[in-house]
Amino acid sequence: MSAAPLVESVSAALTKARRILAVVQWALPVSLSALSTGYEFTEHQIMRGQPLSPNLSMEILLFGLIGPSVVAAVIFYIRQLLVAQARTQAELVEMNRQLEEKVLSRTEALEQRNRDLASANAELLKLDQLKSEFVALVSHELRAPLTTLNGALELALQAENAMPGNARNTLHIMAAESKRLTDFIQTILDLSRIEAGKLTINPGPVAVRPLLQQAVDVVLAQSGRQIEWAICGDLPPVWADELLLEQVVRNLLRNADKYSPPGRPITLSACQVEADKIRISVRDHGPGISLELRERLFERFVRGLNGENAPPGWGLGLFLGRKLMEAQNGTIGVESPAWPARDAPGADFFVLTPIADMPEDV
Amino acid sequence: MAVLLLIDDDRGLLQLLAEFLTRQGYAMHTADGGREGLRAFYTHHPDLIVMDVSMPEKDGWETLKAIRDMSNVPVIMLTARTDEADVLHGFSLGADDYVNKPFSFAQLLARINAVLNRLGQSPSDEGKLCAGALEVNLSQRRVTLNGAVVALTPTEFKLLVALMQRAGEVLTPEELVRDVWGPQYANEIGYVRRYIWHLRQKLEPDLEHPQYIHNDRGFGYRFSASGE
Repeated sequence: MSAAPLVESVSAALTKARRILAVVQWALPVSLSALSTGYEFTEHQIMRGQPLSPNLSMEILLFGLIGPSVVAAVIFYIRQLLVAQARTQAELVEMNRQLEEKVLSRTEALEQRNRDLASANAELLKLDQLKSEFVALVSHELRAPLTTLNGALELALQAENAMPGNARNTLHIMAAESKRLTDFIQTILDLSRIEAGKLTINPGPVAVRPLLQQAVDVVLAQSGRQIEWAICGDLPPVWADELLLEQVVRNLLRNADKYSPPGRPITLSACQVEADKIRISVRDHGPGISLELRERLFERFVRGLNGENAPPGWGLGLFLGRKLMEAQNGTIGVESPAWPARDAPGADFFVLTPIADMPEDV
Repeated sequence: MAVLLLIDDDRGLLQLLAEFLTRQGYAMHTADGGREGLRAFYTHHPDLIVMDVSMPEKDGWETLKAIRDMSNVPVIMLTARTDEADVLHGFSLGADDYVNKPFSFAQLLARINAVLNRLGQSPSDEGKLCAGALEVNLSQRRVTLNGAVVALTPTEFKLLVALMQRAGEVLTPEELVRDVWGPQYANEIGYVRRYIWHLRQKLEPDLEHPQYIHNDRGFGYRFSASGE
């Protein structure tokens, strides 16, 4: 609500008071002077032509001239105050007007900016949608030839014992790279599904130990990496999507295997850490992760190591892991160093996932 | 020797898969597309068909519909589409299994063997378990209650199948753990109670009076085949 009407009505009242005072400033002292002089003459019964005594002269001077002059001065002072007040009031009104103009113009600018932002946002959403569709299309188109490529390699490797060593090695390298490409495309597809809101979550109870064993069997069957188990007893099942949780654990195991020096084990643990959560952790003996990197590690395309000596990877696995855990009401994190050894401080990657709750009395 | 028919417009894949499956002891026929696939189906009467979804002219869905009009021969669909809606669409048209590209040949072989073994064991019920309004399709790994799909996790599905396959018997938690998770977890019977509780939440219309999964206290769990 604007204060301008109130200011204007106060200003009008003050202008009126000032005009009245301009008349009163002279009328009142003159009236007072005449009244008091008349009163003095009457009181002392002075007749025409009679000389004035010094005392009477002083009284007439005091009540007829000085008193009214003081009244005139006080009224003058009040008038000046009112003038100053009126000036301030006028300035205030002007400032209010300017302020309202500014607010109006800023509001219009803001509304225009909002319209521009909404339009830019719609454009970005459209572009993002196009990007997701493009990624899905490209990944989809890559899946068919990869099936043929993987199948050909699989078929060729069935007869690997009859091949010369060089050919066999070459085929193994091709199979490994083809698998890497397949995993990458699968990751891209998973991410595009999550970002398009098309990821289907099928939650239910998940027994932790069998899930971890299954993940270990799949990921470490060929590498032969030793696992140190640290699973707490009587673990209740967690509430998660069985396949997605295993996918996250498999990815953490793959990373631990990639970044650990040969011959060092991976520690796999699971324990209840809060009343309603279980912490599953994968600890490696790798080079560890700096504080600065820890803060960004679960973002897209961020990797633990870069450069020629870095293990192969695209920096999407942990980002996908974060998205998958968030979709299941869980969290993912990392602590480093995981061990006191300075040369291999390692990292402790963990997921926190809710327990599959049920009433105690059933 | 089982006769297989492969239908795919990708000739490279067709040739490689045929060679791989021939080495595994199957008699192979191949067809380059849906129309040719239907002709090969009339000619060779295969025991199982492996067919791609995305093909020009007559795609996999159309071809599957045409096959289903004439025969219940098992069909495994190959596809590069992974949306659940696509999978459900395939099953609704009568596909017996669904394999996503890229797949390994060994994985496809395992699926082919599983489908053929299942049909060899129980050709009459076509791999279904039923109890009242509850129906479990073993090949499609799909559970419906009053016709509506019930979303079970893979382990919940195994647990339900273990109970249904021995309907009427009381199964101890140890037996269920062995069946579902394997003998190495036989001592970890604590899982079972929670799994059963959550399974009931998904299946039982009235949790106070369960129709399907009954608890015989002190002994174990019993599945009621009549659903009463």
